[in-house]
Amino acid sequence: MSAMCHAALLAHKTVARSALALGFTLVVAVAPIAAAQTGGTVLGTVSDRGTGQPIDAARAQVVGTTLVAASDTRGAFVLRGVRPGTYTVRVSRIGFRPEVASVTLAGNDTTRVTLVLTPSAVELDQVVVTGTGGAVEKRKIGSSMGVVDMSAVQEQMAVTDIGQALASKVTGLRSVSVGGGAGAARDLRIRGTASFSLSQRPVIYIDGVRVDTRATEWTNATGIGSKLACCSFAGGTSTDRLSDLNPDDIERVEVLKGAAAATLYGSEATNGVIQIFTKRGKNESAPSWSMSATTGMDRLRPNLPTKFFPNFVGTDGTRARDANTLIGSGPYQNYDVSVQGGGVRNTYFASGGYMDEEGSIQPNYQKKGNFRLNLNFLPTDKWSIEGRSMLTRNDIAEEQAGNNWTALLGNAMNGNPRSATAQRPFGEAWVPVSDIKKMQTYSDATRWTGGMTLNFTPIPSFTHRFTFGLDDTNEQKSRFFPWDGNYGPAGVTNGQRDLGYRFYYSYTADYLGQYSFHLPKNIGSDFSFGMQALKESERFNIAVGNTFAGPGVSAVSSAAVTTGGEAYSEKATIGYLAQDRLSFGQKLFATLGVRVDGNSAFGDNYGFKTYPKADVAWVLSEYGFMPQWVSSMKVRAAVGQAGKAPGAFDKFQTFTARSVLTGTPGVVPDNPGNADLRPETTTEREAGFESGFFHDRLGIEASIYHAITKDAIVPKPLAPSAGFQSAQSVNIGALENHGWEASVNYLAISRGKFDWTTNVRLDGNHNRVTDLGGVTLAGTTIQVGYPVQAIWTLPMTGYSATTPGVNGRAPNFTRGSTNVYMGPPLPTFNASFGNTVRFGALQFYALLTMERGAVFQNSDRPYRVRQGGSDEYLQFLNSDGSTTFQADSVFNYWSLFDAVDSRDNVRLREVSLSYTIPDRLLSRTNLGRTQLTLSGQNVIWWDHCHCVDPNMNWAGGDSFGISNGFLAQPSPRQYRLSIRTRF
Amino acid sequence: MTRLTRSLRIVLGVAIGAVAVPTVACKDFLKVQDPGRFSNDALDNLTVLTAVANGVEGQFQQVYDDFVVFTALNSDEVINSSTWIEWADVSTGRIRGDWATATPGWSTAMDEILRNRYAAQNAADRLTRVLGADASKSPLMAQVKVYEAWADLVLGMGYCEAPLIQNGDRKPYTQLYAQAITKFTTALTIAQAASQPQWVSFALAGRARANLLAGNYDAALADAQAVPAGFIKQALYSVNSQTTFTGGQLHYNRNRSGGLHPLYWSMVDTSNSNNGAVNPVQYVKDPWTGTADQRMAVSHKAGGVAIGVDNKTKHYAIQKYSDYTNPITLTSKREMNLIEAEVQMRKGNLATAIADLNLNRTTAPAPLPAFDATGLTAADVQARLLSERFAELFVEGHRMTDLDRFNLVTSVLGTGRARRFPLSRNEILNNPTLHQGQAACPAIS
Repeated sequence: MSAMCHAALLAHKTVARSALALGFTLVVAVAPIAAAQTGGTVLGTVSDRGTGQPIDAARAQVVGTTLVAASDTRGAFVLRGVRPGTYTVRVSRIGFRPEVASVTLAGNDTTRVTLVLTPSAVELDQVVVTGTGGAVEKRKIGSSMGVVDMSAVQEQMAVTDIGQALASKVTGLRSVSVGGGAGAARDLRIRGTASFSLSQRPVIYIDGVRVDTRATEWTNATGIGSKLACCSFAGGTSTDRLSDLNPDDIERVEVLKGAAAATLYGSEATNGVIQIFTKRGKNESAPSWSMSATTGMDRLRPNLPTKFFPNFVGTDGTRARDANTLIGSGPYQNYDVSVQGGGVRNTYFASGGYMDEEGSIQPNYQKKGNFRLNLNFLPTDKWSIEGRSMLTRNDIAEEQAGNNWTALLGNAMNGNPRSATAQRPFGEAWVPVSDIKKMQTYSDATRWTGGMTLNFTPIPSFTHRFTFGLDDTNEQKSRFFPWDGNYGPAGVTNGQRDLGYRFYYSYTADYLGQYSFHLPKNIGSDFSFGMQALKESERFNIAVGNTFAGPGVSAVSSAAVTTGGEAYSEKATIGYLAQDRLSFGQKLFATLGVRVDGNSAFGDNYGFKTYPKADVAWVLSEYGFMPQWVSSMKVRAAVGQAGKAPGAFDKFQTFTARSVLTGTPGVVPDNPGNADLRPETTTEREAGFESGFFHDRLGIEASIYHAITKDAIVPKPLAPSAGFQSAQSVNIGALENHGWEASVNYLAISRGKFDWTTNVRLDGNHNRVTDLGGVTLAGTTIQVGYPVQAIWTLPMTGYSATTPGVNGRAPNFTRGSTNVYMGPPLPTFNASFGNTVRFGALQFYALLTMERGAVFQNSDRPYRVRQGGSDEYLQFLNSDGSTTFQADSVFNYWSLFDAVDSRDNVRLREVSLSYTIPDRLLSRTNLGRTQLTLSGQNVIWWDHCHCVDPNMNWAGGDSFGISNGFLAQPSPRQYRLSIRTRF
Repeated sequence: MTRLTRSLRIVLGVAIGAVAVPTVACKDFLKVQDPGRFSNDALDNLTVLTAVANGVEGQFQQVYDDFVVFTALNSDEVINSSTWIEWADVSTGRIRGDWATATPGWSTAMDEILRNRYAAQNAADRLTRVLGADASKSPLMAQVKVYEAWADLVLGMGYCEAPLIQNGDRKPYTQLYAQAITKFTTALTIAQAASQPQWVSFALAGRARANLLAGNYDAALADAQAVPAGFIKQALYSVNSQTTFTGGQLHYNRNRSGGLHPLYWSMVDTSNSNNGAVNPVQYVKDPWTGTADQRMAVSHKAGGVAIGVDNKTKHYAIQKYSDYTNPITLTSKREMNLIEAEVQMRKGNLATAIADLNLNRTTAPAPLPAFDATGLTAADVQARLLSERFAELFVEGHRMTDLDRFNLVTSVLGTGRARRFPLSRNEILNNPTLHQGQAACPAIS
């Protein structure tokens, strides 16, 4: 790469950090010498009509100018530099109807304006920026976008992490805790599955900077042999880098749901884009402090299927223990403090947070510290500089879970109580729970995420935005097996230490220009153009020390056998974009856009990829023919393409260097490579409407979409006789997702002290493989005509009550030899029903969710029975442990068949009760709005699954596999008591 | 309109600049390199060829453990005590056509052996390309050629059919033996030209076995006799090299997923307590004398019931594989003695056959009383031959083939069992010459 490119793209971490730090310093240092503005001043206040409380972060703009300000926590805003004349000041905020006020200024007058906003169920005037080629009101875009106002979420619930906050807040977005204890990863995806092999996690940006989203174990990524007990450190759901973020720093989240909306993000946007916007200070406001303190606990639901265990006595007379007795209450505490404010030409937001969460099953905890500093500086009327910096330390003691010989609950639940001994009171078949508890598994991450944005407005109609950013994660994992534990099945005798380092960085360099002008016949045109360069790399270094001489040492170097591994991947994208949005008055908007991408993962014979888009939004309510009770109505349609780049090095034909024999270098064929490899391309068509009724008290929004993914990358195995180990990545597949989304927001009652708001969100998705290019893949995971990762099983074909079965006793079952389709792995229908009721200072909130249509391989169920455990089997044994016909029936059945269970469930996902302390009680304390909240997450659920939790999956986060719940650890119930205040 | 045109020109200029400058400056921006792997061209280098040849050898040895475990499970050597349905199926002789292709098993063992054969051919082509005429007398060429032949031999031993070439049609195992013999002869020629006695012996031993299994008894005898005394070739495993042995699954130190077959539990000599060890090393008794045969060491928990990881099956650990790093014998002069004995038996030279058996039987690690050839019939000699093969080659990958070729599967293990493994499902699905549903054997239950 050329030196110029190095400089421009900050292609070295030290350079990048230094450059960003320098810029940051400049923002701080230069701020005080800002020049004074001339012109008049508008001082405004914004408050909520319903509660009378000031509204924070409302956007105030002098219409027809570039003068914009945001209200502070007291609801105050200042607009300076207003030239003499009469203007309209417009104030908007998510969740409220925009209001306007007329102001007249002469000379350097100062005038005051007060605006009272009415809650609104419709968001047409909300300004969004993600994937839109510049800031724009939602009314002007033709694709669907979800927006989550984090401060509103926090008014209702104590939010533990951003993934949790997004759950059931945006139609089409699935954010589900699939297992593990504190710090474990979540399945986060939008509109189903759009690939045969690639991660389905949306790409995530924070303030314009692409960030690390890894949420899977390191097993296959470390470059170390899989036959060692390394490096699936915790065995299953792993840690989630999304949990590094402090929810308290977040202002709002914008969600682009698919290719039609995310075209301008190019080759990584098939699965949608999530952009997180952090808080910033407000101009001309005194320091405003916010503090919160939360306490609570995590506790698993005691529904583990081992309640019959204590009925049995093991071989040495030990009475077996019920795994439910392992469940404890893991304490939780969280403290956040932030301050924000600003002068005439600068703002600041600084925050610090500390969280300490312990899991319900010990040992397991997450301790996290966050620091953030966001600065904004306007050196001249034409330039603004924003600097953002986040430092996180996130220490997690991971729970041993998942498909793992040392899974703690896995051993406790999958044992045989009749084999219980003093050492193995749960009848553990593999590793005693007491030995697992002696293991030490840590994941410690230090992360810096930051960036700078320069905005340049030479003339009001021509704006430029430059964004540079870096996300730098240094992660260390460690797992220690003590010398004296019984870890044989895990391949460990006399102890082992696994030590791993992961270094991830992602650079973002982004330019966006926007020129607004008028075409003939007063057609408005907003032309955007720009480029984006992204580079990310990931390196793993692993060291394993196996077999210690005795207790007392734990360093890798103190072991008898030491092994190392290293893996590296790197991917670069460069993309160019252009878009023009035409406005026909305030009624009709049409957008044409294109993104052209080059990517280092594309095959050498393949060039750049072009992704076009077009959308139209038509605001019917601007016409006079609508009845009066229809307060707003927009219909929209969009079509667009986005892509998914192949794996970083899949295009190369390679031969693997491996250590063979007793440590001799060897080389064998590995990856056949593909010089023609190109991105998976998804073309999405969607249409829908957004409407408001009865003065926007009732908002209804709906969309339908149909996404076709072509050139889907199929890992096509070569015949083993043709040599290469890895499957060849080839673009021969196709699949489709079609679905619908609908939401209803209703401000049902708002009378004096009493408010009732209700919302319903519904969505459906159907996924189907349409083409595999004539290739028949082994297994049933990907079959033409069925969903990706569909669940299949061999059916029962016969039963005999008298013929001996697998255990030598009747009955006997027989199974067919052809797999039968059972269902999709993801729900085809999701619903949520939320209600917020406020009476004076009290507020009650509850969110009920439903999932339907999905099934999964509940592999725990037959496994437990085959082990001689499980209440399903034990309940039929006689009190002396002798068998019965029913017990034999259960045993013989599950010795032959897979268990396929439904993921259908109805869940009380969130519930809370808040009390806002009246101002009169705070009058002597100098405190502002102060709220006490008691909340519960994942409180109770109803299902007909023979499992601990139907959402379980053995691997979590961005793992592609979502069809098996084997040995997964269920998620706990979370109870929180928090107090939030301002001063 | 003029103003609009001027504005558009400005915008266009800025846009072109925004695109052109970084494009020119970053022309190498999209170039990445995988530092963990070799490209094809990088291997055409004299200094890397040794690693290429060692890769072939190491890959074969790595897969051989899976072959040993699954042939043992499908014979009377090992019983499943795991919770893996696939292991349970094989242990009971059920070979499912829809075997999970990603699971280490008989099917993936075949996949790896086929890949190893390709790796050997790919390496041979590379050696020829880089070394030119010297390739025909290169020790490295001898190394890769002998393993190419061994791949065919092992495929013939374990599987009903396999392609003889890349993406080739299905051929019966008899043709694999024939092809192995041809390849061993080629390897032998190169090894002799390269003056590499270890590869000469390894090729001779392989060809002796291939000839025996192909029914070329005189040729087998000649090759076996040509193998020097004391010769042994083992597959090596090492934690350092990450090529560890699945056989560790058969030991109490590890997973207890399989152990000695119940047919022999009553024959375990429990007299040795190892001075009260929790897991004493004991031996399966010699059926002819009742003496502990140290070639078949097992371990069963003293004073209690050791059970497998399935929590129900009695577990007798296979002691020779107490750790992931234990080697497996691929072939040896002692196997050659057994081949000589079998050929002599088949030729009717019963006394010579017994004498050949006694070569092993009376020496360490056995050592047991010699057989007396007096009055023995051909059937008697065969029984002794089979018991000696069982003991000498215990859990080394031979027993399943022996049960098949001596037609003993039904009498030893019962009816309805697969005698060999079918063609790998991965090969059927991905080899363009092959089609599903054409398997000749075994009957897939």
